[in-house]
Amino acid sequence: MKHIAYIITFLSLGWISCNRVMDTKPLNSYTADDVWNNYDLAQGYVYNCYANCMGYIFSWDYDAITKSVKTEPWGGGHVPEKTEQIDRFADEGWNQFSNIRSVNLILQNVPKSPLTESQKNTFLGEAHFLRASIYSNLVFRFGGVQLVKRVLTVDDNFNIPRSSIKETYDFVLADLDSAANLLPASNERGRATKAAAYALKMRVALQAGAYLNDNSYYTAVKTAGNTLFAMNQFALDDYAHLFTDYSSAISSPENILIYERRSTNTDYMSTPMQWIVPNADQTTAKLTPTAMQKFPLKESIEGWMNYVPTQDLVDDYLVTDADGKERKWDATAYMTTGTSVDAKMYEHRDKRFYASIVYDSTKYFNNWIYLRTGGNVSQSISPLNGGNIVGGASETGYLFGKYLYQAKKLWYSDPTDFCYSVLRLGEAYLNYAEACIKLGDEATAQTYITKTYQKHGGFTNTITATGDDLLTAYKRERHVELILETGDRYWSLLRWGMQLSGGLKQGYSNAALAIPELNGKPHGIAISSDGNSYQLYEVADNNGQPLKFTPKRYLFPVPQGKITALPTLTQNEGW
Amino acid sequence: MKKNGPFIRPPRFSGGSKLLIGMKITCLTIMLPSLQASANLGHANAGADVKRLTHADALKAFKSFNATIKVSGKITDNNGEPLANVSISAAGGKGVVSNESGKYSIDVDDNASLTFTLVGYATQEIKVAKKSVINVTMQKSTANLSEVVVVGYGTQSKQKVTSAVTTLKTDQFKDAPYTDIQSAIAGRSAGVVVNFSGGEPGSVPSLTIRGGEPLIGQTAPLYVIDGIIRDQATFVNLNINDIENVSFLKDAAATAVYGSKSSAGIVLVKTKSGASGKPAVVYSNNLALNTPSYFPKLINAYDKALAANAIGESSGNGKYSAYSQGQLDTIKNNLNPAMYPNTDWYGLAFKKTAFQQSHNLSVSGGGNQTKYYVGLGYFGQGSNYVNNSFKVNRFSYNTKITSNFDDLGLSVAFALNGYYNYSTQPPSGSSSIFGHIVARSPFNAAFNKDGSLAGLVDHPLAEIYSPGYARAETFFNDANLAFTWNVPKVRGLSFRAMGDYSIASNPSKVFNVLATQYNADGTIYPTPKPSLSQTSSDTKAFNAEFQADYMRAFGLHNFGATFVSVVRGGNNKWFSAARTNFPSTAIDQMFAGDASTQTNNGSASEWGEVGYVGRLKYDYAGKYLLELNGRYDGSDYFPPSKRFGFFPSISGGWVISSEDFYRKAGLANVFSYFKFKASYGQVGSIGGTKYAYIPQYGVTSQAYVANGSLQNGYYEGGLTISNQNITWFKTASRDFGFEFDALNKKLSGNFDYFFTRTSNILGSPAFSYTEPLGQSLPQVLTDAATRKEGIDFALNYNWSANKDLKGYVGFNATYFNYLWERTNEDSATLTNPYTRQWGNNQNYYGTMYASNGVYQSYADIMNNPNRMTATALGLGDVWLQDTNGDGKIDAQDYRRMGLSQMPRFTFGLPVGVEYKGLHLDVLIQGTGSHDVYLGTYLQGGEGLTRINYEFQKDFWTSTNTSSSFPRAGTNAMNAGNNYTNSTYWLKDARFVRLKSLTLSYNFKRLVKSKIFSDLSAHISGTNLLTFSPVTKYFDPELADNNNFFYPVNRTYSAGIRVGF
Repeated sequence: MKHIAYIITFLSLGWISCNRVMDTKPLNSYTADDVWNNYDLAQGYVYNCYANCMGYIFSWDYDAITKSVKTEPWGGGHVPEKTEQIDRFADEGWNQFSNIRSVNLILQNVPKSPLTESQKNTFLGEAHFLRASIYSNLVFRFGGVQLVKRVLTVDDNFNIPRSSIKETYDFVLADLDSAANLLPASNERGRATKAAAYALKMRVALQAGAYLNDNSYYTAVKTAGNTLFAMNQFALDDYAHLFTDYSSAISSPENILIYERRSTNTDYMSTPMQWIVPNADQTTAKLTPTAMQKFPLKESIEGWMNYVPTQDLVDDYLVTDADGKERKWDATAYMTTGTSVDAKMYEHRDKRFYASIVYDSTKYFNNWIYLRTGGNVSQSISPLNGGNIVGGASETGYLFGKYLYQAKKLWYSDPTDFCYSVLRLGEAYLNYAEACIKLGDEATAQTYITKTYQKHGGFTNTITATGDDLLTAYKRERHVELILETGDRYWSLLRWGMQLSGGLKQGYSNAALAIPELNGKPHGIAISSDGNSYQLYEVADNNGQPLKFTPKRYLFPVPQGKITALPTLTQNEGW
Repeated sequence: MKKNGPFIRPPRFSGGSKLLIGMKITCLTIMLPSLQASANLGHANAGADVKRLTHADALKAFKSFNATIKVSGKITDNNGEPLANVSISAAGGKGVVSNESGKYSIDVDDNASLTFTLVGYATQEIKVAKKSVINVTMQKSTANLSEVVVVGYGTQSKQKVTSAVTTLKTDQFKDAPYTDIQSAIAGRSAGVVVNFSGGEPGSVPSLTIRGGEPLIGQTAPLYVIDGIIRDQATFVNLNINDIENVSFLKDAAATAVYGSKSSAGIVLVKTKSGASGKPAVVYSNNLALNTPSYFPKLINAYDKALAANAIGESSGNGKYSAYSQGQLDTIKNNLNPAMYPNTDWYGLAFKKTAFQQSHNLSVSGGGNQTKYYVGLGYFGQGSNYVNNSFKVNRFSYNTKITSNFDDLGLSVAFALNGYYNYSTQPPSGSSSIFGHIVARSPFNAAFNKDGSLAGLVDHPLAEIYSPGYARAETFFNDANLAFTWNVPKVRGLSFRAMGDYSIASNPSKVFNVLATQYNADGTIYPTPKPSLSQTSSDTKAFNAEFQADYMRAFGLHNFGATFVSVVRGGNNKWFSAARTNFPSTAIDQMFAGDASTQTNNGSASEWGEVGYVGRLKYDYAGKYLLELNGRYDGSDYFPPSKRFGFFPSISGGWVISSEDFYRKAGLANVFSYFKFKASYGQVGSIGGTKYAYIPQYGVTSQAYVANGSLQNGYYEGGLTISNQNITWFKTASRDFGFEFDALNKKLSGNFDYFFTRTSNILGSPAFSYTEPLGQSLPQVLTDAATRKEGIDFALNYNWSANKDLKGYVGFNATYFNYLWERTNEDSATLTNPYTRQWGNNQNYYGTMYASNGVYQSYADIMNNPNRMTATALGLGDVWLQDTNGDGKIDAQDYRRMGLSQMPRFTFGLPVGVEYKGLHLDVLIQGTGSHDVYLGTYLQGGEGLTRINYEFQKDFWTSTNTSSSFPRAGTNAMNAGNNYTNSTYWLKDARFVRLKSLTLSYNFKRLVKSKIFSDLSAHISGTNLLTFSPVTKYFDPELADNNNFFYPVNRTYSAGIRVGF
């Protein structure tokens, strides 16, 4: 037995305070109290919410769902949507609950925190604004969704039904009203202000007016617009300043809210730039010997071609004809007087054309590029029949210049600064104009459309059209003004379709209004190798299909998996 | 008599003197029965072979109690060469060592037994029986049952092992040019699965024991080196020559003593210690050349041009859409290399051979009081990059001093060991370099006319010739002090106290820049400016262990008990810094970078663990064996109330060959030894996130730009749960097996069946709909469970034709598979029986379409459903099956297809032959069927830029209908019909490989000088031959299915081994 005693004595030596070694703690995280009781940490929390939410309100590539943008073989998305190859299993971003929770946490914790009233108001206003931006995105896509208005806990009931589309729009607009009340008139660049809340409210209310077929929302657009314009904080800027250079973009007086990226942690690959630039080099692997000889490249072009503009977009940039009137390019005198394609169709255009579209025989970074037959960035497909470039060149004969900074050579991993316009005065003017048209105030609409038409388009005439002509002029103006911004083209086409069919409550599927701009094939241009003749042609999208839009797509489907998981969720009609 | 286990002391008549006192006054005859009893008692420890003492024996024994005689003799090996350093010990702890002429002399009781031991030779036990001269011929040992196996917190005689443990000695492969111990293990042991992936210098294959538990994310085993839990890095940096043996603990009975971290098995290493005797110095080296085993030939310019035309043709652009006949002729005959280069990128970047060397020196020796071992090792491996810009160097040391204080029963062991590992390589990394070697077209020129590097994107030579580097270093130093006290006067009781402290430091430095490239006009081709990043990471860890062992025999009943308490802890600190825009490559120090770009980062972590281990052993006459193991284990991973868990195991064995009925039945003539064993136990593995019980807010650095400057962001961490019911994943492990010797012990083998079931799996609460919560529910214990089942077995046959010619053949194999018995999948996932995991065998590659090959007739296209988007299918396109027969091909036709890329069956076949001084060791190793999916660069799906290999020429044409590839084309054709996920692209990567071959010759037979204890030379090689259906595409032990990896090496080497 004394052996046992030995053992016990011995082991007790080992036992001494052993368990204390397990009293460790995480050395790389804060507690909730740390964060909500400290202004800098709480502000950092708000920053993180911006980082997570801003993507929903600028969605730069969402216009690829329309005929204005062609998705290229090398990549790029939205092909299933625009060719309507999606079914009820498709998920267009239903689950935003994580971001909603993040924002609700601000609303829950800030009121109790030891901050000054103005600090609290700013954070709370930002939370309302960000929640509105998430839900506006959801209501545009799905109609009514599940509204989570507070931070849920583990023990809550999660079987939340869809609210109606009206309730959802009203929830968003109410959030924006709260935001407008709480937010300061000015804030750090990149953060929401009173003006941002009004501007977003105009965008959302305009869409609500169409889907709910309710003029009171158009009135709300005007009311918000009146307040915004009366603040007199912003002014239209040169269009190129907004989209072709970082420093002019961030300082532009037109921007109401921007989303900025810094070279410290952003490279070309993380911006749209990488995806709108072709891929060519002075080697036989990429160019035909003819192209190398006739159109030599001074330096390689290193994009990963995903999106290019189509002729359908290019058509909407008007030309100032020889008589000083604006016309569509194929209706001008230059068509007969011009000898080259350039003279026929690319001169005297809307100023936004030169800031947005790269066409044949243009200076591009340090090169002169040629999109014509045999050119140095031409596709090898018929009828372009250019270099050897299979997927790295445009299939439409155009490239985007908007959102492209050409000051520095593009190389995917090189750092770059970038600035997205999220909300700007130009859009607010057009939203205001549309509300005026819907409310029958054509004169005011003409005034507001003329603002961007003259300042951005560089035209001297004013918009004087009325009735359907005014609507056509307005739609064209909006098309060229806002392409590649916030998915505006797609949402606008849906909105205009809704306006025609009298809103969702009338039963959109019976209206059978298949939006023509979302059906059929887009067009490209093939220019002869001497640059003197051209041919327009239809291009199918990547899956070989034409664009297709049936009325069920006024709303995307609720992903079937979500309904399986919560059977009380209702499906949108037609899916 | 068989050799005793380590806890079973040789018979010792310590009670003898007391007995004698009594006997002096007692009639001798009356005493006899009691004497017999006590003699029996003494001998009973020795196991079942004890003969019943007769009265006469007893008398003899009695008479000789006090008789001490001097025994001397000479010890030789079976060649008649004298053997030095053989230790000769008698019962009672006396011991001497033979001198260089093999002679010894010892004073012992004249009825004692002498034990002759020498590493590498079979231990012999010889009864003195009054002989004064005992000459011994030692036999080289082969695997035999008297081996001692190292188990957790102790050793065990192999005969009494009831758990699944395999011990591997390093002798058989110490001369093969393996780069590390983990590589050397492949194919050597049943149940140990080693998978190589590529041959980048310094890369290490993955090792699992019986496949690990990948379904719960536990594949890597726990590494335990000399009793201390270490990481894999420390294991693979060990010098193979310093390792005495490696044990693999495979079932819970063996691993339960490591508790909460042991569900994936344990690799246990024992390093060498000194043996008493004259200093023995051994030097060995190995000089090797590495050459890539398989790398498929890249396509040449002419073939690429033909492929371009073929793609054009299938896209409807006519026959010569890319190259005219005239251009083709020019290319074929290389008439205009300036316009149409034909660059062999692989040949330019990669040379045929790379040099590798290792040097090892060890010194060991000492007297009875103090023994020492010092091992030094150097390993250096170069690369096949044309400028050898990838190098790995490793220095290791291993020193151990053991001192015995016999009077106190105390021994003190002090060990210092460590390594320094240095690797430098081009900053681009080999997957990027190989990606670029593969993807560059032969039509790209590598050089300008003046020989400078051409201006070209992703120029692999600009990467390889970079003046920059990516360097990683590891310094690891460990000090270990252990006291072992065999308590005097208390038989069988010993205590051990051990402390260990290690410091590891991992600095790394990456100077990222490309070699300067030039445009054709001689101007510099613009590339990003150099950037520098450095990190530093320091880890300190301590271990303290207190161990008590007690073992005792009562008659034929043998008991053993072990108790251990273990405390481990440590911390890690790291920081990093970086700057970019260095103006030049001349200075690669941080200060020279652009200060406006500077960034830095850093953090720290700490950990602590406590464990209490217990083991009880019992056996009856070495015939019925029972063992109970357990660990009460605590970890700071879990909330204070849940820190401790208990991991018990029970195992038993039955040595049926020791039964009388067995012998009577004559079975002993066939299987001289046969043991059944079975075990059951529960072990753990730590899953989930550390500190999941503490609500935390995490940090995102540089989250958002406000006012033009980047700001940190903070976010809510994982939700915590109120009842804090989180703990280990629990794996219940069962093992049934048998071991045997047969054919006069020439054949030995073992077989194990194993079955594990893991529960306590942390996950989201099952099936509930929680999406609006916006966070995952806190992890709770779910009722999900996984299973693993399999077998492993090994056979070994030793033969000898005569004194000079002998050898061995072995075979070992492992087979296993996994199953999700129950899952925690959501209800939507569960509705599809073809894609859900619940109840499904895990031996599949992935869910995809089934393919019927390619369309060979228009009838096949017309009469079968196509994908909706495949509007222009042609002959030679991939035929996808309408698996569910609904007339359309869509995602609902996805099924689980193929076999898991991780092989489920692996085997090894070691063979050796020895003829006089000539020794040949061969290892053949391989796997059963497993699938690899061809990567997009091998499929060629994105058109010409993805036609990179010569084998890709074999696309379908009307005259080549049995092609390996569909008709040439691009992803754009038929919306990627040919390249969508289907079984068409699955390839069976089973293989058989001549893993290593070593031929050595011992010159000691020729050189009669006494100076050398060893003088041998060897030539050897690894990966000499490979048979596999996929060698056309890649090495079967691939790391990347696009071949974006440094190829597996074939190695040829030569070396010497000299011992003094």
